[in-house]
Amino acid sequence: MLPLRDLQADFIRSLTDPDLAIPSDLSSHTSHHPKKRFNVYRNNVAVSLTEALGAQFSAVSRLLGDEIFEMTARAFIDAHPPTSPLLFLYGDKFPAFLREFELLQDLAYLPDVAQLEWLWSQAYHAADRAPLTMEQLAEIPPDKLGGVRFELHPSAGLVSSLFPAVSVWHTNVTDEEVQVIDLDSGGEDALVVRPALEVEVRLIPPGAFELITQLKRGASLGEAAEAAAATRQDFDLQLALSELLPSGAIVRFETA
Amino acid sequence: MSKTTPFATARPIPARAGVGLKAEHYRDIIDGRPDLGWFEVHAENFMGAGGPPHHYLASIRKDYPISVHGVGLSIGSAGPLDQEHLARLKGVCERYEPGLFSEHLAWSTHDGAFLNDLLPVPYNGETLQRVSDHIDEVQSTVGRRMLLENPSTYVQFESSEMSELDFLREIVRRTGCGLLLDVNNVYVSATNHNYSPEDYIDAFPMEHVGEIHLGGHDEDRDDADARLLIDAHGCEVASPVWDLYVRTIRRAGAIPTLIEWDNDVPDWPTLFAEAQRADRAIAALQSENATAA
Repeated sequence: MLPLRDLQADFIRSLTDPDLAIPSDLSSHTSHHPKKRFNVYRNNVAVSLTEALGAQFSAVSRLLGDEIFEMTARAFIDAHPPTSPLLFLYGDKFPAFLREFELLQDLAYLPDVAQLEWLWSQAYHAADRAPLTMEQLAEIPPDKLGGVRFELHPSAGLVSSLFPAVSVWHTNVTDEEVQVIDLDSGGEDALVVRPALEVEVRLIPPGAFELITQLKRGASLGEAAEAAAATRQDFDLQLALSELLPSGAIVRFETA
Repeated sequence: MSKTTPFATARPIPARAGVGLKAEHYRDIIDGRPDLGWFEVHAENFMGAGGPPHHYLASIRKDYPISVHGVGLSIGSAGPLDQEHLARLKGVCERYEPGLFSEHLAWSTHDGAFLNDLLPVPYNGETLQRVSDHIDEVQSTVGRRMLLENPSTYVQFESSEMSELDFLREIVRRTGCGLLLDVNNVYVSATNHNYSPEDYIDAFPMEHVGEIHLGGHDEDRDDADARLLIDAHGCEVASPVWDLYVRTIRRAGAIPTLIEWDNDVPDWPTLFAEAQRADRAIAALQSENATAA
């Protein structure tokens, strides 16, 4: 008799490869080779994981349509099966997979939409923290502004796209009839944060992506602004702060 | 029958109908406070660090008893239990203090890959040993008595050496766990493997049952064109399953009964109506018993 470990290894091999014969240990009252019955398990695994990805990446799914999304998801599932029973953690490699997936090479904006959806889902489940209010942030002494360091909210994430990926995402998750987005209308960056119950996706001005990325890494505001100005000539610190400070993405500050 | 679980410190689950908690219904429940006995949650949905799931469950938990149902521990795996997952399960139980806590007689993880389905095990000595060891580990780590759920299965194993009922009885004897009797699973498996669901219910060790599940199934045909039922949880409870449920509580008495509807989730009134149907069956039994007494 096959040890349980070997039996389960056989089961998994056949489950994930429909070209393989079904495990020899299986039977049913109607057949010694119950392929159709075994296919229920094959189908459950493929469909439930595809649905799990579709729930995490609903805009990507809508953009591709059911058939192409399903094909893409199944290729991804084969290459990267989930390694945790927590399916809201499944799909971190999906944006990079889309970038490499040959079938979708024409859709250069798609990985950025997927990355935004991934950040959204992680923000949804992130730890809760009370953000600093504008009144609390106003207590930073003006002469200490350059040296101030911020702790960002656990839900805060950033995406930078050469395409209007945020607008594409937005219309696909909110509008019954999607708006036409001109893909040549320029890049968009966004800050994703969940200061309370609702996940918020905020478009941020040029250079703010670099500014907030640096702040997240622990740079002082002065250091971060310098790095941001180096990446974008049109970086405007006042404008960037006018988006960041009221966003609820800051939970603590420290003056030097 | 013992109606208390040895480790539970939380609000006990009443012998009434409950429903599986779905995000789609958070607002209906919090705003409407329906007259329902309890809610069951899938443990895995509340293993994130924070966010709306915890916010809404904490609010619902104030007004209703909660049971925790794990769907991802893979107790039937040949390999060891995922220690991180077990620790998370313990965390969910400590946070919400469920009145009941259950998992499946199934496996879903192999060599680190998670398949997201409840896969079947052969009923023999090796599986018995493995599953018993895993249940011992779960109960000692989580610090509560676990209920083990009978599965829906579509195939059988040549290497099975005992019936499902004998297997479950022996697990209970070895581990002291309780049982979660899924009546739809009984109907699905009995149909799929051509035995009598009534006989199965009549022989089930009801003294160990702490909870009942009712859910909907789909119907298909197998390789030889025989009926093949699929445990899909995407529709109403089928009429023969309701009959089997009434037979169950006539034998076992009133037991907490859950309506499971996980796919194509209906609006709240539809789900609530299913729960009320189970409540009416329990009430009918109780008045029958009162008249007889």
